Amino acid sequence: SGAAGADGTYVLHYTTYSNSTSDQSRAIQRWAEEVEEATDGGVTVRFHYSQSLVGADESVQATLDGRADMAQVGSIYAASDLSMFTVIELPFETKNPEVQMTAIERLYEENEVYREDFDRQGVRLLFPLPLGIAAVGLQQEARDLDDLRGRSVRAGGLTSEVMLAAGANPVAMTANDIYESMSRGVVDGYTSLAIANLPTFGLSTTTPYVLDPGIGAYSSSIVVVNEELFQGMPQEYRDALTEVSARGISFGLEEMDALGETSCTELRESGAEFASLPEDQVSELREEVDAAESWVARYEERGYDARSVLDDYRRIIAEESESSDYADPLVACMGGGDA
Amino acid sequence: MTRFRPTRPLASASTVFSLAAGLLLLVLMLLTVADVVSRNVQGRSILGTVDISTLLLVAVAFLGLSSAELDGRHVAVSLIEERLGHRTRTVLSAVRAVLLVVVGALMVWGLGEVLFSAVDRSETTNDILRLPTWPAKLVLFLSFLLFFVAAVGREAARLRARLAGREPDDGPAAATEAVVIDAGAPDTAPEPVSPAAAHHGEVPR
Amino acid sequence: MTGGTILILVAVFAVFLGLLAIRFHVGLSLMLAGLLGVVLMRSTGAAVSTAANQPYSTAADYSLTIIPLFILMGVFAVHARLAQAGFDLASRVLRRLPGGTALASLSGSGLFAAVTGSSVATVATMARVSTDAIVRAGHGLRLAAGVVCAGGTLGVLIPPSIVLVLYGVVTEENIGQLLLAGIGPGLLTILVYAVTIVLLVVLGDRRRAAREREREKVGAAAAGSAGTPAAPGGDPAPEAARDPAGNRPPPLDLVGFGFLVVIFAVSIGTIYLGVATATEAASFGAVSALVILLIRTRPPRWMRVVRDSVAEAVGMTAMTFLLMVGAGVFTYFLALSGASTAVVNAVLSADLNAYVVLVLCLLVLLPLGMFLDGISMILIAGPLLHPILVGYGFDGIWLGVLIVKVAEMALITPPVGMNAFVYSGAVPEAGLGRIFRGIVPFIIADFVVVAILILVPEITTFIPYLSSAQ
Ligand code: NA
Ligand code: NA
Repeated sequence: SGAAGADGTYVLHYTTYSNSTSDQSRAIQRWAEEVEEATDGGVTVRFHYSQSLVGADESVQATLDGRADMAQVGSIYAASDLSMFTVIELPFETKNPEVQMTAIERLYEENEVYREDFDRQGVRLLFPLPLGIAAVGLQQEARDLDDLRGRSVRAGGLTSEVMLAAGANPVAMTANDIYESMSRGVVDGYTSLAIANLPTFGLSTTTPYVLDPGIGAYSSSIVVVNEELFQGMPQEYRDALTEVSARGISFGLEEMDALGETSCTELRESGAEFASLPEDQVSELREEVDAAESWVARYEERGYDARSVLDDYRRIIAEESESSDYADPLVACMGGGDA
Repeated sequence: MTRFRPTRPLASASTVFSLAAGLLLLVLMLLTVADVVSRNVQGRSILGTVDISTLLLVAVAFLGLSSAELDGRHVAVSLIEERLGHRTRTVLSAVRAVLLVVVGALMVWGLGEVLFSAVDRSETTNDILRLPTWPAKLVLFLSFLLFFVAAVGREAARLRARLAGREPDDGPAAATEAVVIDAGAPDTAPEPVSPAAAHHGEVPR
Repeated sequence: MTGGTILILVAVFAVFLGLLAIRFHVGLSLMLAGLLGVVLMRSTGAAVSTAANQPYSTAADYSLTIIPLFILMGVFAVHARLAQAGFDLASRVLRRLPGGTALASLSGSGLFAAVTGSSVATVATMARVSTDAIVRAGHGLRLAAGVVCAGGTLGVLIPPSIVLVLYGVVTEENIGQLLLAGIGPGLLTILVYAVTIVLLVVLGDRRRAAREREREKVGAAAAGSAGTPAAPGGDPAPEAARDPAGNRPPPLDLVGFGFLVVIFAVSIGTIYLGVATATEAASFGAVSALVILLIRTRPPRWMRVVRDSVAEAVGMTAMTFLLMVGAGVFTYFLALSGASTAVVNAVLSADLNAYVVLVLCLLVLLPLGMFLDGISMILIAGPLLHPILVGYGFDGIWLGVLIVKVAEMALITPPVGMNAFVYSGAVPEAGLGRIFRGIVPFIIADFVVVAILILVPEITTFIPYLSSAQ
């Protein structure tokens, strides 16, 4: 609960929309184990998976008002609570999830506008969890924009706008509905999923064609803790949380790689074919969507200095891309297959 | 027998809410059909159908709360009360009335805060249209407010009747038309039977 | 789990049962008891937030639009007197069998289950459609309630099924195979329910015949009171009722039956032809039912009949969602308490044979099911039980269907059985006591089904593995 128990120990209730075996949950499980060890059992985590405690779109509010202590906050659910965090959803900014993760963390330290959202909501960023780059799964082959035109593709968030710009017909549906809708032909394909997500929804063995649309890292999530609770902890516990959180990104990437590899193997074994949208068409799409400028405009209207956040995001991406040689599981899978 | 008669403003507000829910339900139905037809015929979905439908559902789900209460549709377990005496039932009526006031005050206050927060944070849905959620939350606030007014009013009427030494007639006001209810106090209501069966049974061979 | 937590759990359950006992709204009882637990375990602020956010978070779910729309479809169909037409025909076809109309109702539930993933929608519709037919055939409201509520559980076994899909998501089992795996157990359940109905009717007739002989011995003077059809809680004298129903059957409304088939065809067809998702198909079902209602109603009455139907659907929807809100608050408290984890750990620590563990795990679900709905149970229990039982070597798909089947029994077990509540909302005269008494034989039947599913796994696994072998 919100304060230490009678013996001075903490049991933190963690709420997530992910299931217990997803890469994101595996990463936070590792984090919890290390925190428990570092605090000698003083801080333990009780997990509530698959929205069994509170809904995905309530996670920030629930962490603030005491229904939960920690939460996984998906960027697609954060528009109202952590508006500036959603900058990382912008398509075509980076194809490197590690760079995106580092940017999420650095913006928290380096950009005041971005940070203020968290402070106002009373939550503290512990570490980000990667999602991987957007893939398009298709029933029929598609190699360029002409092929995509007119197809109904399940999509969500900003990737819906990319699909619209590509001349496809974005259809909103929950990820749970994709499998059946694909097999019955309600939709011709899906996106807004990364390769590591496919096994969860039964799609790694049933997707004949996979297209990399060039959108890149399109969404992500973060782990937050109630700030007041955090500040009320003894110094040694706070240090332990901060120290283990510093390894959060590598936990996340390792778990995502493992699932991505499984998915890749299953896709290859089921005979899936891979393709990428040609570079010039990706640029065309990027200009057509112009998501970044609409994002800045939308939030400037609400009184945010959104421009500064976008500029800092791009600056950090440029800096971090220099030093990171991480390859997304989809990129790795396509590279491996061509050999 | 004193049947609870809602005051005119309460009754008309419930009717208006129920009608609104009905209209929104029909809109929800037609929007979905239009979306699917458009997707299949023109290859174009109606953008934001899921966004709109979800907010419509929030309204549809709760606008009918008070009329359901006035119609006696809400579920309670009457097994034990049926076996109690008049004085105990009177006490239970009072307890229920107090509990309803407590839960009602808590819910209405909480829903008010949720509504205020949605306005304050300019909360929107998370899909492509990013619709403001406050209209749906306003509907929630009003629906629950009216529901608790109706529920407390109904319980208070029961309590008054019992204090006056009568048994309230608080059985379902809207009988399912397919099943004829036999006359009698609902607390010991006989099993409903069709007219044919009832008639036949009264004339034993 | 600490001693303090156990005390809180006991207190919360006691308060909940106490509230039920004083005839408080079931939904509000769940809410109030759950809130008490949240106050004790966390804070008053967290409790108020939980209650106040629950209505929105419960209903802001696109896939749940299927609930009001299938309720609406059912109400339209009833007002268009279609269900009646269908049941008259089904009853005519099945009339030589004991309990023909009840069997017809069961067939209807099975058909309906193939277009809806929601038990609640199945019950709401079939309650309106078949209750009167069964009562008129002289089988009593108790049997009618039992058949309809139990028939409602078919909705989650026969695809499409929201609960099976959710199970697949929380456990990462293949969703397509899970859905296919529901078919065999769904059909088996229908078969066992049908046998139950026949047995109930035959035994009931025997008992009545025995009573009749007794009465003849006592003499005509006593027959007057013994023949009263509507003794509280009892069934009306069915042998008396069956004669008029059997000898003077209503004229067959074949056009009405045809329209019924059209509605089923539209809602099934849109799914199987890939025109719409199961969620969207509900709207097509409702629209086609509306059109047929208008065709079968004289224009001057159009406004009124549509208005009445919609108002009725809206009331039933509100009542259903208020229950879901209460269950949501209670579920939040249970999740917070860690009660389910603790119970499962207790089972595991006993170090037993795999099948004993399986049965114990399933038994653990039952008391949970007295208070929770199927979806909440799957969300809480799926991630806990699945990995453990798979670890014992059981097949994941088979396990999924088995767990879902047992979780669905939650919908018909007292004191909180969602199907019973929905039935009581649709047929308020039935009374929860009588509904639950009517359900008891079907709970026993469910135990038989579960036993068969455990002994003969092929019933579950045959279809999914057949199709994946292609
Ligand atoms: Na179904
Ligand atoms: Na139950």
